[in-house]
Amino acid sequence: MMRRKLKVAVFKFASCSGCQLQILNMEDELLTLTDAVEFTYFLEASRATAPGPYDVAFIEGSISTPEQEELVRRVREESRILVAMGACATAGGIQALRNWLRLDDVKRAVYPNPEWVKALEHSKPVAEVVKVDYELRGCPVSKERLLSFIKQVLVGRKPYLRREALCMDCRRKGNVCVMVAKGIPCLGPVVQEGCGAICPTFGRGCYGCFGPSIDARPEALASRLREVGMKDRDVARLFKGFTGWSEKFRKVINELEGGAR
Amino acid sequence: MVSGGIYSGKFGELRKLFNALRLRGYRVIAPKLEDGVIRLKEVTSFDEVPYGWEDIQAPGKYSVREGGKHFRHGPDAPKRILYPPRLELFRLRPDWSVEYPKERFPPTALFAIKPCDLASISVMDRVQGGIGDPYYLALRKKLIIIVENCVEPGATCFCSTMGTGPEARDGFDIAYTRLDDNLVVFRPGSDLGVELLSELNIEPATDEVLRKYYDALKNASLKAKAPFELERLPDELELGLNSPVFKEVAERCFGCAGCNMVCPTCFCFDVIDEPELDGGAVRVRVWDGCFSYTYAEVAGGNFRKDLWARYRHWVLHKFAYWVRQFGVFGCVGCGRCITWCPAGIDLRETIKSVVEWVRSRGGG
Amino acid sequence: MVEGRLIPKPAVIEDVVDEAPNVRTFYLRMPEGYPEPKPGQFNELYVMGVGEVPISVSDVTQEGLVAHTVRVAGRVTEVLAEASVGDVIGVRGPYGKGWPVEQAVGKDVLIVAGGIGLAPLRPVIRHIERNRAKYGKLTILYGARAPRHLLYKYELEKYASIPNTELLLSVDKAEGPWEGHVGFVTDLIPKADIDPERTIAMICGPEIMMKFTIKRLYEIGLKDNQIYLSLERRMRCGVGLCGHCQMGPYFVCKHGPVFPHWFIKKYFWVEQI
Ligand SMILES: Cc1cc2nc3c(=O)[nH]c(=O)nc-3n(C[C@H](O)[C@H](O)[C@H](O)COP(=O)(O)OP(=O)(O)OC[C@H]3O[C@@H](n4cnc5c(N)ncnc54)[C@H](O)[C@@H]3O)c2cc1C
Ligand code: SF4
Ligand code: SF4
Ligand code: SF4
Ligand code: SF4
Ligand code: FES
Repeated sequence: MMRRKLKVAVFKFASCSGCQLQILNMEDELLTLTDAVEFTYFLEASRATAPGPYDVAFIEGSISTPEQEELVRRVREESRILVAMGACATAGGIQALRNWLRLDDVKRAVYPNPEWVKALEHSKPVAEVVKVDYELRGCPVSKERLLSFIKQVLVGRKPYLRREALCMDCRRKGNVCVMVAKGIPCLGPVVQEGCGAICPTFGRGCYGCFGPSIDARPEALASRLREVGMKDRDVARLFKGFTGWSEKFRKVINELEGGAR
Repeated sequence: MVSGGIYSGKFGELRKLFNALRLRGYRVIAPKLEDGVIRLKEVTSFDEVPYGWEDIQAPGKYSVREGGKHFRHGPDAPKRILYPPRLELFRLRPDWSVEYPKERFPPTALFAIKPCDLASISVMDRVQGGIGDPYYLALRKKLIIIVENCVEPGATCFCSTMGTGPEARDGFDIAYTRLDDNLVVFRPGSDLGVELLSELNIEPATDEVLRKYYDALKNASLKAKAPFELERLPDELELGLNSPVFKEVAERCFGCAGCNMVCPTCFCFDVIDEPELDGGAVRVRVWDGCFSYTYAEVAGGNFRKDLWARYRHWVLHKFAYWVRQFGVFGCVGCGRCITWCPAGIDLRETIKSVVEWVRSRGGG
Repeated sequence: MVEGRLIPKPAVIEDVVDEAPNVRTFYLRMPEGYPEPKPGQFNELYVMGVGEVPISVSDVTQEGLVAHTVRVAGRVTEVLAEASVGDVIGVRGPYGKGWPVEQAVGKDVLIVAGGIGLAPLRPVIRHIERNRAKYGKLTILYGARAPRHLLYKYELEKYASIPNTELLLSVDKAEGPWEGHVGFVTDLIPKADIDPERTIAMICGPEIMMKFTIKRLYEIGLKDNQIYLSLERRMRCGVGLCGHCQMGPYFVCKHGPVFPHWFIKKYFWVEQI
């Protein structure tokens, strides 16, 4: 079933490079892939052109400027499969926190000459700009999932990665539920599996970097958290963390904050 | 039913029993306190078993405290050992030849597990055993079970209603009961149990001890009750298929399938086929659960697309369909799905409400 | 540990027939020891590293090749459909309980099929054709989205020429010259010459179509114990282990996929059972 080498490109937009690092960290695994896959990296996507075509383009980072919008459109045209990789690309990332504030206020708070900063009103997930074929979630993405994804593309199959609630994986792994045993708020019940339940494994609640699971019910989790005594504000803050700008979480956050956005 | 007599001895005899198992080469898996939770783990020393600790369980809440007399089961059920959450089944080479993972099945002793968990093994004997799960059977064949009867059931326990506890009836090698700090009652339940007990320094229970024993277990059984009766329950629940209760409860449910995962009898699995770079592939079995969205999803639709339907399936499978499929209830009343539900949903209340709904409409 | 039941064995694709858009039939040389499937049974077909899908047996040829008619529906079927003659795929089976061809001896047989649903019923037609004297009238009602989506177009007409057989076709949309019915396949039921006293009905198609069919069959006087249907559910193991295919207390993979209607009626009509 192995065919010619798969041409894979990795583009970085507004992000911390954590996801790319994750790919670079996969040296051992990548070595096994080198016969089958050819990687090209565009570390500073804003300056690079997109000389494709590519079999697979991984997009890291959210889309925050008009230039980036333009570029990601070109990448789309050049790529057979476009994958949004990481929390930034799939849900706007932490930088999407600014989406709840007025852009001018943010600029003024951060930069001495705010008028020089060209930025879109919102830090957008890639899917708000171009069609995304697959999402590899997480902050950073999971090595195992990335590798499995590539292998699946290599056999010519549409990649399949389970998208159920993290709780399933957390409990398969044998973690003790931190919500129940420690009273620590955890987004696991509404967040997609894939990270290997890292946070609960270390006794922390899930911060939601993988974003909403398939059929997630964040509204039910929010009411439970309030029922056990959390303030609306804190529940909203919890959901905002990494993937708050995802549609499902955004809705709950806005309801909690009573805002109309 | 229980074979052999009833004996009593001092607490120290339990240690001897434990050591005897180790001496015979058993891997001993027992309750063990880890990071504030009583787990079910391999232990090498009797002192690791959390005697002197107590857990406090409630819907969606769990904690432990020192100084309590009796511990109950924690989140881990024997299922985790006998039917592991993730199991590589085999590898296919590119030429379609099959390669099996090398497994070892050490003789294993489950020590101080609770009667509900013992009952879950007899349910698994019908399910995994009945369908001939080779991994399960390989471990099961070499399994020895020392069960600790429950003198103080927890707040989420309802083994009494399910007929699985607080006293173990059968299927164990040895059952013991801690009546007080230094008085333990022992019963053998198999030839091996008789043999092991005969090596201890114990004596036939006196009438006084017997009386104490019966009273303690009778008291316990009054506690571990759910607000419903088993008689006709499967039929009543099936009459309640259209009850609005499922929709009401599902409003609070996250659909996280945590309950499926902690339940000692849930057996559903997903099959994961992973390609290998050499052109072969691996097949892996992982626990799945009927609360998950994709569980009943097919190309072009989903037979249980709404969470209430998945919630209903869980309840109906455990308390109705299972009886039709395997001749026993799929629930042993351990209460794990109640304690370990992050939403704090109480299965017992759901069943009670459905039954009330059915009866209020003249059914049942 | 040897979980033999979940191991696919290699089978060679000896022939591929294009049936309709996105539908192809694969004729497989089965591995040594594979038992002869009964009409209505299915196999698990596996593409190396890609995955496995339950697919009905749609024919067994004189040479012993076992046919599977596959419609592209998702990840596995998409790759499977690309396979060609000489390729090797994995098979496990045959699984499940098939159509009541024995109980139907001496009776009229009514086949109602929608779309890909004709595939598991084709072996019934073959069986009756080969044992013509043992059965009464054969009625085949078959509906598809459009004429080009009809399966086995090259032999549909031949069905009509099996002695004492009535074939009625229906499409949702005609798209060009079309002599058959336009509408639902269930509309054909009153048009066909069916003797409700002596008929056994076998239905396969989307669940909603089967439900309408049953209602129509009631109208012409058929009883529950004369109606059989083949159910579809998500399947992961095909052999009663994984739980996915449950419908009420039944495992569709091993107790079905073909069920007498009276037997499952209590559950079948419950929303999202
Ligand atoms: C008893 C039976 C007989 C069938 N016979 C045929 C046939 O003759 N021809 C045909 O084209 N199709 C048939 N189907 C439907 C076929 O199995 C599905 O279209 C196929 O499984 C879709 O798999 P996929 O990987 O392409 O799609 P995906 O949606 O990607 O499915 C992923 C997995 O989910 C499961 N799954 C998804 N849809 C179904 C489904 N409808 N039924 C069962 N499992 C599913 C499978 O395990 C599959 O591998 C039959 C189904 C059943 C239950
Ligand atoms: S710790 Fe979080 S992810 Fe794990 S089971 Fe509990 S709620 Fe779910
Ligand atoms: S009942 Fe509780 S544990 Fe089960 S799916 Fe719902 S929220 Fe999760
Ligand atoms: S259904 Fe709940 S109470 Fe019953 S055995 Fe399973 S986890 Fe325990
Ligand atoms: S309750 Fe659900 S997960 Fe558990 S065995 Fe039944 S169908 Fe499977
Ligand atoms: S498909 Fe696994 S039990 Fe039926």
